Formats: sequence, structure tokens, C-alpha cells
Amino acid sequence: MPRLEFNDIAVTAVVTTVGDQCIPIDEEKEHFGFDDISLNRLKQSIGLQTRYIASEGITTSDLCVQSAEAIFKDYRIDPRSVDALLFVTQSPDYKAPSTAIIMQDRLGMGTDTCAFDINLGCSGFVYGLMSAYSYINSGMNRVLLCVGDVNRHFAGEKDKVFTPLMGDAGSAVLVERKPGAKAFFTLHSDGSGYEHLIIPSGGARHPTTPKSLTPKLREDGAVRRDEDLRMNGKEVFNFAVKTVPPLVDEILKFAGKTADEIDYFVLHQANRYILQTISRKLGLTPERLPLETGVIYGNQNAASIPGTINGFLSDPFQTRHLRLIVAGFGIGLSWGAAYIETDSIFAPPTKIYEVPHD
Amino acid sequence: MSIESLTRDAIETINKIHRIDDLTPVQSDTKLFEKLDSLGVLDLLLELEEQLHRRYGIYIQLADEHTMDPAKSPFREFECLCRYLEQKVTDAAS
Repeated sequence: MPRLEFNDIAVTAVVTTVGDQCIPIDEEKEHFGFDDISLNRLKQSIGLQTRYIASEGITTSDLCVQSAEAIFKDYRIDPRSVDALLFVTQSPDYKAPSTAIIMQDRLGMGTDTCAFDINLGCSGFVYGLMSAYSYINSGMNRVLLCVGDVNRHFAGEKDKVFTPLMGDAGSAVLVERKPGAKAFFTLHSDGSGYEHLIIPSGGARHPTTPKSLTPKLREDGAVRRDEDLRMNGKEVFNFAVKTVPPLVDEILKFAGKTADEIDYFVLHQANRYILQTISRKLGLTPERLPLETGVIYGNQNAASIPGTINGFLSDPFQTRHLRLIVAGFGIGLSWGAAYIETDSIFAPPTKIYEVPHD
Repeated sequence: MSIESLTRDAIETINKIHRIDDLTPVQSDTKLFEKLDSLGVLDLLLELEEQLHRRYGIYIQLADEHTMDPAKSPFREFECLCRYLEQKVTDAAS
């Protein structure tokens, strides 16, 4: 079981950029074919209000590049001083090469940068962060972690079960040496559940065919192609209930902390029940475990943890020393959690993507 | 209020949103899992936990890895759900 402990390494900057279009759920009624009852259920049960999506042609790397540029410009970091760029996404610019390598050039980083992609979804921030800490621990000085997704590349355009929940975001996170900071990570995976969240076609196992590109009405009432992401919501719920509450207990125990010693629990924002369960079990006040990210921005996949920091916790992150639990869980199936410490970091409020004029 | 009444009350509360025609009035053999989709089960979970918390003053987690399993879920039938809740309350009290 990978349990990792790090000393003198910390996150020093977090920036999240969301898609340029804010769409109220009411305006999507016709597009997804919701009747009044269905729409009301989504609004009242899940709390859906709006989501931010990127306009056609904007990719995840575009959102992440704007986030990274904010770190370089406003936090005054020389791009050439960064040793590695890790890009966690399910929506790369190309099947090959790694988008991270293209981003290295776009961001003005040196050719001595280690850059590559990591294919993960909602657990991806924790996995990417562990990788960044490991590189620093092995001798690097600065690692830039970029995470996020633009969902149109795998979420069915008319999939009324999945797509209305999703929001586009790209975050950039700087990890550096920081004397005195401690961190603990625990990571898990279970490939026996790979079919519960999957894009079935378009890869080497089931290559693209005319049939795989044809939208069809599915058993769950959604219209999607075989090249769109398919979620078995009930199985994913069972997985999350089974794994996430013990995951939080596990990382607290591994870090030697009690819930009272943690300032914020920042969890992947996919499942309101899971978030409320953990909040109730640990007796947390609502502000210590934010759960509104999906309501305002949509499910941001790997970016939902940094997206929650920038979206709802910018002030405390920029002004205080904090002890945090972060946890992500999803496609794979995979899940992971970390205890990390931050101290008055660069974490401005969420930015909206600025479409270049040229 | 008995567990059965509490459960009926919770189902009626969530059905104000879900508006499933033949869900209420609920019968002992009502197949909840056939009438509620995953969103409905989630809402019922939260409503039941809230009502149990109000009544007993403690948080009782009702969901587990079988909640959405059609063969094993306590939500498959009203009567079954009531027995499950009674057991959960008994366990929490002990």
C-alpha cells in the first residue's frame, strides 16, 4: 500500500481557470430535453444552478496555461526555474504527443523541463500532487502540476444523465521546497471496477468505427456514443460509500491528526451524499468541508480540489497557515488522499478564461 | 413516531420533489428501488438521516456498499427498509 511521507515540501500557489461560458441549468432544459419535474429534481436534489463550460475550440491545456501564466506573472516565478510540468487530464490536445510537452513551450519553460501527461480523472489531483512531491523529494526544486478537463471531448453532447453535472476547469499548482512543511499521502486503485466509469471506444481495445461515433438512446435514458464517457451511477455510488469515508479516516490516522486539528477538508466535489456523510461523521461545520463547487461551477473532475480552493477558500489560503485533508476518487477506479500544509500561499479567486482576441 | 411513520414521512417529503405517481401512499410491499432512481434513493437517504438525527440526536450513516445494489439494498422494499432502520438505530444505541 503506497503510503508516503514528505518533509519540507509544500504547495505555494494554486490558480484555477474555468470555462468562459456560465450556463444556468434552466437554459439547458430544451437542449437536454428535461421536463419540468426532471429539471426541478436536478435543481432541488443536487442543487444545480450553473456550470462553466469552455467555448468550442478551447482545450483543457488552454485553461491550464492561463492558470500557469497567472502564477508566473502575478506570483513572480521564472518559468525557466520550474523543473517539471505534470499534466493530469482525460482530455489531452492530441492522442500523442503528451500535451505537457507542448505546454512547456507555450509557457516559456526551459527545454531541460521534465514534462509528461498523466491519464486520470477525479483522483488525479492527489495522484499528481504525490508525483510532484516525489520529484521535489528526489532533488527538483519546483514542479508545476496542471490538472483539469474540458468535458465536451468525452461527455455526450445530449447525455442528460452525465453532461449537465460537468464543468470545465484547468488548474495550475506550484510545489516547492518549504522548510517545516509536512505531507502524507495514501493512494489506492481497483481495476476490477474499470467498466463503471469508462469511455468504451476510441482506444486500441475498441478502435473508432462509424458505429462507435453514432449517438444512441441508452438504458439510462441518456443519448451517447460509444466514444462518450459512460457512468454507472449506482456502482460508482457504492464504490464511493465503501471507500471514501475509510480513506479520510486512514489519512488522518497516517498523519497522526484528529479531525479537530484540520482546518479544511477539501474533497472531490462529485457526490453530495459522500461529502455530507463525512462532514456529519466528523462533526464538521459546513465551512470546513465545502460542498458547493458543483452547484456553481459543475463537476470539475481532477480540478475540483484546486477549484474548490480558489472558488471558496481563497481568503484563508492567502492569509493563514493551514492544515488540510484533500481526497479524490473516481475513474479507474482509483482514490487517494493527502494531509498537506500551506502557509499564506498565492491562491486568487477563480478566474474565468479570457478568450484571446487574435 | 415509529420508525415506520418516520419512513413514510420521509418518502412523502422527497416525493414532493420527485412526484412519482404511484410511490405514495406507500404500502409495506412497495418496491422502492423499482420506483426511485439513484437520485431519488440519495434524497431518501439524506431525508431519513436528517429525520433520525432530529429524533435521536445522533448521526447514523445509512448508506453502505450495498445501497444501490438491487439484490441487497435495504431500499428494495418499504418493509425491508423499516427493519433496516430499526437495526441501525439499535446498533447506534448500543
